[in-house]
Amino acid sequence: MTRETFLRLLDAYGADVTRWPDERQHEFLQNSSGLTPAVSVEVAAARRNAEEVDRVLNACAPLVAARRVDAVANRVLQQITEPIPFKKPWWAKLWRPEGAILAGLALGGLATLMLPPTPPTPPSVVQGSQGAQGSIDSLLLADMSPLER
Amino acid sequence: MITIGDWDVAGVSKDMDGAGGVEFDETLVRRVASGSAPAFEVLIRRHMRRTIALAQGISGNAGDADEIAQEAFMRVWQHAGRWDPDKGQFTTWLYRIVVNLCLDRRRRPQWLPMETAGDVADLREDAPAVIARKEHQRAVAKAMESIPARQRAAVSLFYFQELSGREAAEVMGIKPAAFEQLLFRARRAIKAELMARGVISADGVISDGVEP
Repeated sequence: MTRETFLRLLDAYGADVTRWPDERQHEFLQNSSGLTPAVSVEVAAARRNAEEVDRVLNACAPLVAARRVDAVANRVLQQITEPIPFKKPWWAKLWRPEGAILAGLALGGLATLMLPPTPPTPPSVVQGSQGAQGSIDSLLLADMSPLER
Repeated sequence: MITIGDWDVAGVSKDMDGAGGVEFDETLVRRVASGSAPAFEVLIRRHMRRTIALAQGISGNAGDADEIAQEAFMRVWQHAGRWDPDKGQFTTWLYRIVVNLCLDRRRRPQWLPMETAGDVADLREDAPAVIARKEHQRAVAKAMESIPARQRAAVSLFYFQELSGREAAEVMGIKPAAFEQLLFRARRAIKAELMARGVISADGVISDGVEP
């Protein structure tokens, strides 16, 4: 392992070699003769420096109080046990009185549109007839010759 | 109900088996996928502390961290069926959700020193040590605030959550070499800030007189 690689790894993973990636640890153990503090003043300073940064970082890890954990946990549990608000479908409002009236009007209008057009009423042949039966009889007789009558 | 403080978060999910009455994460998530609220509660109690800590490490403040942790677990509840145990541990999936939620928040982070986040100070410490620790926290907070969110995520995963480089890279969805690069840049920036504030010196000599 070169000195540059070693210094770079110190700057990334810190002075604790056991926290380095496995292959890097292996590489270091295989060839670290030139990287011992006794051999190089630069390496010794870099190691001390890395140990200091490690110590400060480890001391500054966020600590979370138990009551805070409980509070967040309880909020989540409360959230999942709350019943999901039922969203009414659009047609549900038709059950209300105004909805029923609206639906009735709509259906009525639709039915009116679907009816066949009314044929024009034929002109009345016999004015002042005495009822429906009388009118038909009069019409039949009107087309007959006196002999047929 | 199990007290959260009694849980060794990492230990439970890796060392216990179902026979001892403690279920694996995998079993729990499968039950959550079928709608089991009790299984979900066990999962929450087991992982909430670390989830909040990770979110706080990246987002930089307690309020956002709590919201992000809450949102992350809601996503677990809603999408538990999507988790594939063959593709990684549950925590990898959970932490990925947290990291993505943090990165999605575009707001400027306010990385606050830990004591402002409601942590209890250790009263057994002597005054100089407390002062030094607070100074370190301020320096780290300043440094963390100055680096990009992805670098904060790398530092949080590797140093605060103590994941390996490979695990952290997996959480972030990047290759180990890219993760190493992120960590390198982040640590360089933090080191520069610590040096500028006199917390550490260039040769690693402690400037505040506190024993390592």
